[in-house]
This record gives sequence, C-alpha cells and structure tokens, in this order.
Amino acid sequence: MFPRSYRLFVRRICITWQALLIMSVPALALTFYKSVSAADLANRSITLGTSVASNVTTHSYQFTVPTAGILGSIQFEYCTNTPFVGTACTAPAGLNVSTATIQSQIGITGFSVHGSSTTNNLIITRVAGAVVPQTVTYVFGTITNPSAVQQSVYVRISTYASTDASGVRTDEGAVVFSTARQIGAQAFVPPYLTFCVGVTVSGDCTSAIGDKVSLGELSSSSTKTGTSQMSAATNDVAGYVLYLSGTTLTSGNIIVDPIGTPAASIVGNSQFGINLRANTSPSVGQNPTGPGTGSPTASFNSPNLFSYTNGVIASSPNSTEFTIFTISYIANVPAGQEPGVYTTTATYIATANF
Amino acid sequence: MNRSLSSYSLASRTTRRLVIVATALVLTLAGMLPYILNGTAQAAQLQDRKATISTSEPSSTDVEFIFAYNNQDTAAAKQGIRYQFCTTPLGACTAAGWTLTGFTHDSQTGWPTNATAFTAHAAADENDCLQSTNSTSEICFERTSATTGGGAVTHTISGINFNATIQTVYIRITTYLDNDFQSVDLLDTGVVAVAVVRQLTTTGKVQERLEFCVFAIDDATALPTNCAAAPTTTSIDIGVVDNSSIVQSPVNDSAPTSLGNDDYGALQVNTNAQDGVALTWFPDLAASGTNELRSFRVSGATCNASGTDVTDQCFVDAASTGEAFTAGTERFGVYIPCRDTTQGTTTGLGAGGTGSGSSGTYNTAYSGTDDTITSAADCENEASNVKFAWNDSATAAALISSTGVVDDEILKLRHGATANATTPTGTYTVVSTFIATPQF
Repeated sequence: MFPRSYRLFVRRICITWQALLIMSVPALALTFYKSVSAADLANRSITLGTSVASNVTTHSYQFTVPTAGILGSIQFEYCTNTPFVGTACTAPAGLNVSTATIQSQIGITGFSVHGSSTTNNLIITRVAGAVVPQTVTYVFGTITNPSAVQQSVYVRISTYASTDASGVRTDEGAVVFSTARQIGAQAFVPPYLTFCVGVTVSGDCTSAIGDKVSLGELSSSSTKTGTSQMSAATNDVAGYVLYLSGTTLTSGNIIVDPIGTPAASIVGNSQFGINLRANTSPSVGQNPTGPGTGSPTASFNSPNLFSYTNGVIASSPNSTEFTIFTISYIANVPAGQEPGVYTTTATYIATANF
Repeated sequence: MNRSLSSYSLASRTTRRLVIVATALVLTLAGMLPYILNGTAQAAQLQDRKATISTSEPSSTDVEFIFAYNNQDTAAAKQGIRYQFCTTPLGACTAAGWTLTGFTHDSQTGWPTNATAFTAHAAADENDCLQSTNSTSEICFERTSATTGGGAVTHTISGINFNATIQTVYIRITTYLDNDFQSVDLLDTGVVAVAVVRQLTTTGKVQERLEFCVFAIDDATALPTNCAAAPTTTSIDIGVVDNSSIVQSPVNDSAPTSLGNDDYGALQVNTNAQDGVALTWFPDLAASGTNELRSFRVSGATCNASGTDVTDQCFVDAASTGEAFTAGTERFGVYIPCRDTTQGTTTGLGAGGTGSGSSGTYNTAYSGTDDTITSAADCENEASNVKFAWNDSATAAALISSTGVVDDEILKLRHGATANATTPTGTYTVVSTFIATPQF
C-alpha cells in the first residue's frame, strides 16, 4: 500500500492531466478546423447537352480538385436561389437528377450514383481513397432539365471524405447554367410548274415558236413526218405528268387510223402516231434533252415505234429542271385514202400535285 | 531634589533644542532636495513624442519605427540615443519578446548638423547602453557631432521583428550629450507606446452568375439592355426562297416577294466567370421525317441520305467550315454578322479574333464574307454577305467565346438560303439550340 502522501500526489497529477486534456480540446478543434476548411474547386464548369427546358440530356462537369486527401463522394446540389454551399437551397422545378447515370468519369474514378440522390441532389460515391490534386470530368446522362425557360440554375459541388456526402466538406465550388429558348428559322419555297409547247421551244420556256405542224401531202408510198417540242419543269416534290389529248388526222368523217399499241411505221397502211424519241425508220425526232429528269412513258419511248393514244405521254417522278421533249409525228395512208385535208389538234397538258 | 529637578529640566530643554535644530535641518534639507536632485539628473521630458510603426501585425519582420519628439535641451550636443523596448512604461524593463538584433538606422530629420547621421551602436555594452546585456530590450544609436541644439526631430529605424504576442510595448527614449552614454551626459527622456494588434479580415463572396437568353428580334427594335428585357420571340421567317437570289434574315414583310418577319436571331450573355464563357450550338433533330433531320427541311419529309439532293424537301447544308453561296445552288446556313457591345461594358466575346470559337476567338466558319464581327450600329445588315455555315451534327459547334467576364454582349445571327430550280416547294423549318458554358 502506498502512503497517503503518494496517493495524493498521484491524484493531483491525474487531475492536472485531465484539466490539460479538457483545455486542449478547443485548441485541437480549432487546429482541425483550420486544416480541413474547404478549398475552392478550380476551373470548374458545366456543359449541357442541350439548354432546352425539360429536355432529358447530359450534364458534363469539369473541375480541378485542389486538395490531396481522402475522397469518398461528390455532391452536386442544384439550386435556383444561391450558389453558396451550406445555405438553404431552392430546387429547380422540373429538374430530375435522381435518374442520372454516369456516362464517363475521368481523373478520380470508381464512382457510382449514391442511392440517396434526390431530384436536385446528385451524389456519387466510391470506395474512399487518397487522391492528389487533379482535373476531373464527369458526364451524367438522363438528367431532366428544369422546366422553366431562361432560368439560371446554380450547381453547388462539394467533395467529401465520407462515401455519402456527409461530414465536413473537403473542397467546394459552384457553377451555373441557364436554360434557353431555341431559335426557329422558317422559309417558304413557292410552287412552280413551267410548261411550254411549240414547233420549237427553248429549254427554259422563255420562247415557244409555232403552233402548226405540216406533214405535207400524205402518200401511200412514203411516210410523212413532222415534229413539235415541249418543255417542262417543276418543284413539285412529286414531279409532273404530261398528257396528250386529241384526235387522229381527220378530214370530215374520214380518218387516218391512229396507232394503238406501239407499232412500226408501215408504208401504205393507214397510220397516225407519235413518239418522243429519235427514230431511224423513218428518220425523225430526237431524244429528250436538258437537265431535267422527265422521260417519255413506255408507249412513246421506243425508237421507231409509234402510238397515238390519249393519256400520259411523259412524266417526272420528282421535282425537276427542264426537259425538252421532241414529238415525232408519222402518217401513212393506203392508196385508196380519200382525198382531203386531214387535220388534228393535239392538246398537251402538264399537271403537278402540289 | 530641586537640583535634580533643575538638572532634569535643563537636560530636557537641551534635548528639546536638539530636536528643534534637527527638525530645522531636516526641513532645510527637504527644501533643498529638489535642487540637489536637479543637480544629479537634469533630464527633461521629451515633448510631442510618438512612434509610428510600419505595421501592427503580429510576427512581422523588419518593422520600421519612426520616432518623433521635441528635444527640450537646446544647449547641448545630441550624440547618443537609447531605446528600451519594455512591457511597462516605468520600473524594471521587461522585454516584449521582440528580436532587436537586426536593427538599423534609416534616416533622421531636425537634429543639429542633421547631415551627420546616427549609426547603430556596436553590440557591446557601454555605460548606460546595455545593448549586449539587454539584447532583447535595448538598442542604442550614436554619432559624433558637437553642434548643439534642440527642437523637433525624427529618427527612423528598422529591422525590428515582432513576435506573435498581441501586446502594447513602451519604448523608453533617452538622449545623451555624448556618444559614450554616460549617466552624467543624459539629456532628455520620454516614453512612447505602440501596440501590436490583431488584423481585421473582411470576407465577401460574389456568387457565380450566368444570364443567357436566345431570342428573335425585329431589326427596327432597340436591343434589350439585358436578358430580363429581351423579347420572348424565337421565330425567324426569311420568307420566300427561290433560285434567283440569296435571302437572309432579317427579311421584310413585303408581299408578294419577301414575306419575312424582319427578325434576326440574337444571343445575349452576362456572366462573371473569370475564365470566360463559350457559346455553342446545334440544330435540333426534327421530330418526324427521314434523313437529314438536322437540316432546313419540310416537316415529315423523306429526304435523301446523301445530303446533296436538290430535289428532296431538305436543303443542302452549308459546309461546316463555311462557304459562299451562289444564287440558285441550294444551300442553307447561318453566320454571325457581328457581336454587339452597346448594352454592356465589356468586349470579351471573340476579342481574340479569328479562330475556332474557343479561347476567346470567334469561329471563322461563321464570320461571314467580311470575316469580321466588329460591333456596329447596324450590324445585322452586313452588305453583300454570301458566306454561311451549318452544323449538321448533334455535337455542339463552337460559335464564339471569351477569356473573361462578359457584360450583356449580344451575338447576332443571320440565317440565309437559296434554292435550286428543283428545290421542292414547301415550308421549311429548323430549330436551333444554343448553349452557354461559363468556366469559373
């Protein structure tokens, strides 16, 4: 057993140490506070995938973590009232970051979205570990932008040693983005259909000369021929259609037989027909020319085969510049053809379905 | 007995006389004491004395002291100064904890033969100057100058290092006739005081700010002073497009040939991002249709995937690097006629000139025929422009950026088109999204 004086001495020592310990607590707290007071995240920015309100988009963050130490989580708090970390936050209407996914992470990695994230408070977490100062990039997808148009939204960014954004912030900073209206540009391209018919026409229909085609004296020993032209262009997306409407060569009630099914010209037969190609038998006409995409329909598109049936004779399937069609007329008569003046009036019609 | 009494009385009277004489002597001496003391220490009080320090911050080094005082003695030379740095003005001097060993003489004014400067006394003690013994509290300066005189003087010294203690320090000043600091040469004395105090730290924070707005505005309308005053209109109608000319916004509403709405596009930005702001854009994906969904197109149209077809209901996009349009050769695009700075105080956007649109430059693809975006009063109507660009991509393309803050600068946009003869009729539209990315 120790003497009483020794016990008293030991008790005083203990009391003194307790007092020192108690007094040192505030000092330690101050020291600790100073050493962990939050530093500013540097070079920080947020880039939106789109600034359109309510759109689901990406939010890409980049900033420099200035403090070496343990990092376990990062908090992105979206507020409309102030960027100051630690103050009351007004959540942006319509914003939803709880559905965010991490599309990419560069620098300090290993993060996943923490389950406690809310519509305006996105927390990403990782196994807490030491980091050194560095620039980081995080791209989050499937974030719904705020619903207000032209609204500034502050995002308070804080890093923590903890894995759930609790405790003392290590570093902090804020960025700001703005939703914005979009600009719509509009114009009208007016419709047009340009069509001309004549014995000869220019490619752009600025001229069309003549309206009569003479086949001369019809003969049972040779084929009589003639030509006329037409040109067409349109910006109807469905193009144009050219029609023939008319009768065969007629003199009173005597006619020259129109050719139905396309057929070759036969001297001595009663034939009246046309086509839109260059022919060698007889030698008449030329193929369509010009930059357009118009072409004859099948009944009128075979060289040396002629027909005269009312209906579509040419068309373009889409908008097109001018195509010049040359119409070749042939006429044959038998030896017994009644004398007379044989005439016909052919009407060519162009339509477009605007 | 009587004799005895008589003897006693005599003795008593003698004693009384002695007491009286002694008392008289004491009183006489007391009356003379001031004169005696005055003869042994003739020091007068230095008047109008003060010490101005260059800083009051604890732990400061090389602190400068400017002593100013009025020498009462005018009859003697002034060849020695002794400064004692103490925690009290009187009594034994307790050092303040400062480091005095680096002290130096800097300058002086008003002393007799002022051109003869004081110098720091050598480290060793010398009579009253106990600079070695009291190295933490005492320093001395000396010079050789027999000129007499007094009055107001200053003496500037430096090289004093404070400790971290918040405290008031009293500096006892003594001047000497000679430079060997003998007590008999002491002239005047006085005490000044300085205080080492805490510093006041004032902190404020400016919050991050971005005001960004996108709008369409009539060219006859004054520009908004800020986004709060910006119009909410967003539609730009460039009217009738055909193959005879290049039309570009703003287009007047002059039936039947133009039929536009006289608006052009504008982006206005205000941010305090110290690293600047970047403006980017991309055309929105059309909600319906096939191919060329980010082109100027008829809603729902099926277009050729080549992007060059002039018979489908999608305009051929201008090159992403910009190209000059030729009337009749189908194209659609946009360009920046200018950056207007009349509404703010900065000229940050595109101040770096031509470039890619980043690092403070503007993207040359969008800088128009004149390749400049200099602010001008009527810059939405740049004459003879035929150069446009388009971004047929979901990836935002850079338009322009700054490297510092931007104060309500406005970027103007003009959309332009020309049609082929075969460009199908229809109402063509495209919607564009603009993004501002400030970096703090």
